[in-house]
Amino acid sequence: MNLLRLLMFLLLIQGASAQISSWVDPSGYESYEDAKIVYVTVFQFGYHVDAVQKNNIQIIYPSDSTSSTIHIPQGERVVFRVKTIDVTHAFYIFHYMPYPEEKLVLAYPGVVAETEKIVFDTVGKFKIRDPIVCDALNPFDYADIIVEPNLPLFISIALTIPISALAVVFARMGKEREIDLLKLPLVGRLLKSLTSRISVFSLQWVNLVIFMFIIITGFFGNPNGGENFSIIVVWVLWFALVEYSIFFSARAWCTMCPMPLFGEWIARRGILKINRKFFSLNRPWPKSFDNMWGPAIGFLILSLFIVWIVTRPVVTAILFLALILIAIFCHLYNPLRYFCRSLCPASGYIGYHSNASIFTVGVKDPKICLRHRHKDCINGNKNGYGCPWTLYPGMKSENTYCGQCFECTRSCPVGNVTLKLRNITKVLSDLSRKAVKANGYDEAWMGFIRFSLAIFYELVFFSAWGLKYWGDMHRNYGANLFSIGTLMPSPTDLADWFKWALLVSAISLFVFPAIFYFGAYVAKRLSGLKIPTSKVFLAMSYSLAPFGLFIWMSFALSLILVNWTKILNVLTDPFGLGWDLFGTGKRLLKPFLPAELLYLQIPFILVGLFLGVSATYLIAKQLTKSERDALKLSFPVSCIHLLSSIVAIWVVVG
Amino acid sequence: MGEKLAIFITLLGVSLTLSSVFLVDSKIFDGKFYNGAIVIRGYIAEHGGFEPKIVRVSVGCHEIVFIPLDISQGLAIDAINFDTGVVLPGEAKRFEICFNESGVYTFRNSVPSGPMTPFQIGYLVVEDVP
Repeated sequence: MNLLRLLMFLLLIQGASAQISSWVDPSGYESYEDAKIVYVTVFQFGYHVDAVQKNNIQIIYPSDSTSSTIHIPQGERVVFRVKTIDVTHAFYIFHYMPYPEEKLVLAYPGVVAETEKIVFDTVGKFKIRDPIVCDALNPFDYADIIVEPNLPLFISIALTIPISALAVVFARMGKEREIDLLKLPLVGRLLKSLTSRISVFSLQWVNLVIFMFIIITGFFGNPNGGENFSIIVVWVLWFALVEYSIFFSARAWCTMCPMPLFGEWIARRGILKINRKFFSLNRPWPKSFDNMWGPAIGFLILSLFIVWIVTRPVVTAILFLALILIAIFCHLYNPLRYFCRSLCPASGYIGYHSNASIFTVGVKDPKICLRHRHKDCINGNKNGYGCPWTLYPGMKSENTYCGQCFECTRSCPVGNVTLKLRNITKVLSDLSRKAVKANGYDEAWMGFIRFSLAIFYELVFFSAWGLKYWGDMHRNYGANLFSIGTLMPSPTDLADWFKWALLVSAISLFVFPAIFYFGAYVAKRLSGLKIPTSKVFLAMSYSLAPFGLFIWMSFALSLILVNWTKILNVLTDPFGLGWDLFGTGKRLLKPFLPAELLYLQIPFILVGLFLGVSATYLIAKQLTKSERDALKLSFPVSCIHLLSSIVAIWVVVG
Repeated sequence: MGEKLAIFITLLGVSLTLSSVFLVDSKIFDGKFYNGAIVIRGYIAEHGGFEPKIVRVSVGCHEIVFIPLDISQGLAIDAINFDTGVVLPGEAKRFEICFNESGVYTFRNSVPSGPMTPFQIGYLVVEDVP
């Protein structure tokens, strides 16, 4: 019986090989003596290298090999023969092929397409991408070409060590500085006017209209995410802009976010006027829910469904509608911004990373606030509400829960609240002071989830790895309201999703925190200090706030540079119905700086490492008060940062 | 800005945005009689198939515009030996087709676009209109 099984297995393997060799048979094509020929199968949504041939030597790869990374020595001439096994695809190599509009290599079903002879003279990593839409996961349809030796990878990794050392020197020498932006002659006046109620309402109104339109296009527009306004505007444009805005303007997005508006306006019984009586039950928010666990777990849950969310317009529309409804219920329960504080995943991570922002809202002189009896910033007055985020601006020293609604700047009768620009040293010092005072693990886990998923997302969405199929539950199709049934998974697809969910949750909730805890344990032993390991672990976790933010900025850069034509496409054709509102026409995918875009991501990772190591040292210094002990205490965690940066670099250019 | 103006502007913005949904429901054109160019948008069968699925025209020659909206497709009318070949998503291709006799002509997606491609069909009802 076993012999029979073995025989069947061998026959199967032979059958698969025969299938591959039937199309890679060189006798059927023109031969090239001076070029290597690479046979590639294209499918929804990936690539598979079936065989490589040079002269008479042909290497056929086994069919079960998932190879979608091609290694080519520098100077080699290569011709690609491309076959599709499902729908029509195109074949485009960043930098090495003419832009798709000029000469598109199309692989029709049943026809083998062939590229021209390509000379691979520039070393490094280059992406293969299908520039025409072939369905839902097309934006993440990549294979890699490594032109060896991969010098950019080695140089980037080598840079991590001096940058880590420089970070410590910087942390020891930097001087804290901050500027009162409202005192600046022209900028101050402009910012002051931006904090007015009407300016904030104008920004909110614009975003409200845009997000309503996102919901409409999500439900009724093209089921393919890449052709739909909702997906491209939210998950390419908005997502990237928010990551950058956090560093430069902290929670600027929260100022203009439309999600809680309906709830807040209903509770306040008005839009612009100040009401003392709220339309709300006005019940106290449960203390156990007033922390960052809600947003952190919310962000993780969104990540479990991220492949659907960022590719299926209807899922994005349902998500936004759900967030608006939840915000309304929260405001009916309590009129303050508890939805934003304790539930909204975006608000949670924006708040967490805002501690690494150079912008902050703060008071000019805390003594004035202490002396002031009425505390208008808490209680409100005719000019503004008391802080809806339940903060006391007079004692506010960090950005986590300040939603930048500017009620305090309006309600403060003595004009003591201002907008400040901090230099990096001040940012990191404020962060380290916050870190040593921390006593809950909610923000720490937000840091772990965000940091580990930043690298994981890069791996899933921009690499040749096939992990995304698990997360997508192997559903090939897009979905709007009319084709929502295509989302229904089969039991085997569900099983794959559980593997994905387990992997994502394990990495972000347990594996990375465990590595970090080990680092904290070694740090404690190395320094010989009598500080509980948990204290070191908790405090050091805040060093992930700047580092994680820059890893996300690196990811966001790739999103924008690769998909910028899609942004123009959905502006002129928001529903994806073949319209051309602005006469700009539809453009094929055309990455901006295709040769350099991967390398442009590296400086962000290195700056993140620099800030992460600096923050680690400053936190250690706050814990020990001695420079020598601080060095010992920060060393193991800095090594984790160093290794993390190498992993991130390897994922991007390796 | 007054409170009433703010409420008015908000309601106006939201209602205008929501009303944009009426721009997209092309299903109302199903069975419409075309005098000018026939515009057929192609979704693969899994996404709902052609829009519109039923087109009424008169005997004679007509301009036909085919726009695949999700993935590459083709439009073929076998009865008159017409096939667009592969048309890329978002690309609007124009052709002229002629019908000498009245009747119901089936059009289909001629390019493999997924497992349900054979079921992606529509009907051209050609009528004798004086």
